[in-house]
Amino acid sequence: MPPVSRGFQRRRSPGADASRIPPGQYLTSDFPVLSAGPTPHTPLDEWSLTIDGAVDGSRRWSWSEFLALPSETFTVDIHCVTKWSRLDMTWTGVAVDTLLADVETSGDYVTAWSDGGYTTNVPLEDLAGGRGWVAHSYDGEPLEAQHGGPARLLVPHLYFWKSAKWLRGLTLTVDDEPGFWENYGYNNYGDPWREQRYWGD
Amino acid sequence: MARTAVLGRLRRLPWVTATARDVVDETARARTITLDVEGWTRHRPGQHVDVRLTAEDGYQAQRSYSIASGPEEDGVKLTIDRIDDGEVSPYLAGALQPGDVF
Repeated sequence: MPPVSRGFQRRRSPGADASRIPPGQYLTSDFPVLSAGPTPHTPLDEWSLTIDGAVDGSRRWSWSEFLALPSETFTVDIHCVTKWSRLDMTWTGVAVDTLLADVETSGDYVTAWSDGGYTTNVPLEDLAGGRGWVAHSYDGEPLEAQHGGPARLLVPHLYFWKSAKWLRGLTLTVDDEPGFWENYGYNNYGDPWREQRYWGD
Repeated sequence: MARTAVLGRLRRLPWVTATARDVVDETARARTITLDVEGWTRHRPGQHVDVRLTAEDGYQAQRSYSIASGPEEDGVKLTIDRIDDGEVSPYLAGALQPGDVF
């Protein structure tokens, strides 16, 4: 039995949205900024998005080519491993399904990589089937650099560290290769509803 | 391959008890608390801690905080920014006194 913290009591009412808050999370209405390093500022004319690795041929889109792809606007709940959750966040971006539409791959895993050297691994099936996007707008506005702009991965059903900011590419891999935080002890999969924060969870 | 290596190296961390040793107000809304943590082994720069508070009725709340002290220092220091309508920060940077445990 953990010790009782003298004088501590619940201050937040679970409210009507309690069923949408995973275990150990609390609801916030702001948009906290957390990153593993400084915010990169890649000029849009130098930006590109690459699909490579275990594929029949790599693909690459410039910023204008990327924006010309069909986009979707979607509203999702976001859960960060640092305990905050925010509901009903509206993003616009290109579905990973769209990016992979004509790609042949022998890989079952994806390493997302970013400006600044960040990486994170996600099973391909978690990015496909309408569950993953490369988002370029938040709430109808271009995504701010501090929130991962010009474009970030969005995998809302996993903890938010999987939604790599400043995304520059997706590398398909045959073996599952733990990324930056996964190598430092964060869970390899990161399902908020099973509270998979760290290895062993 | 890499996955096996990571799995072998990392293990699940148990919750441990922390006792407040000292509290120092840094500004009107920020306070540094020094903790004695059961079985603490030196942290590495950049690491964080998860704090879990337990109310008398069993309700628990968790938050993550950066560690504000160096690995060579005695005790673990957290500097807490008090969020007025928050749940955990007003407690840690308010009601918490030396000798309190969580």
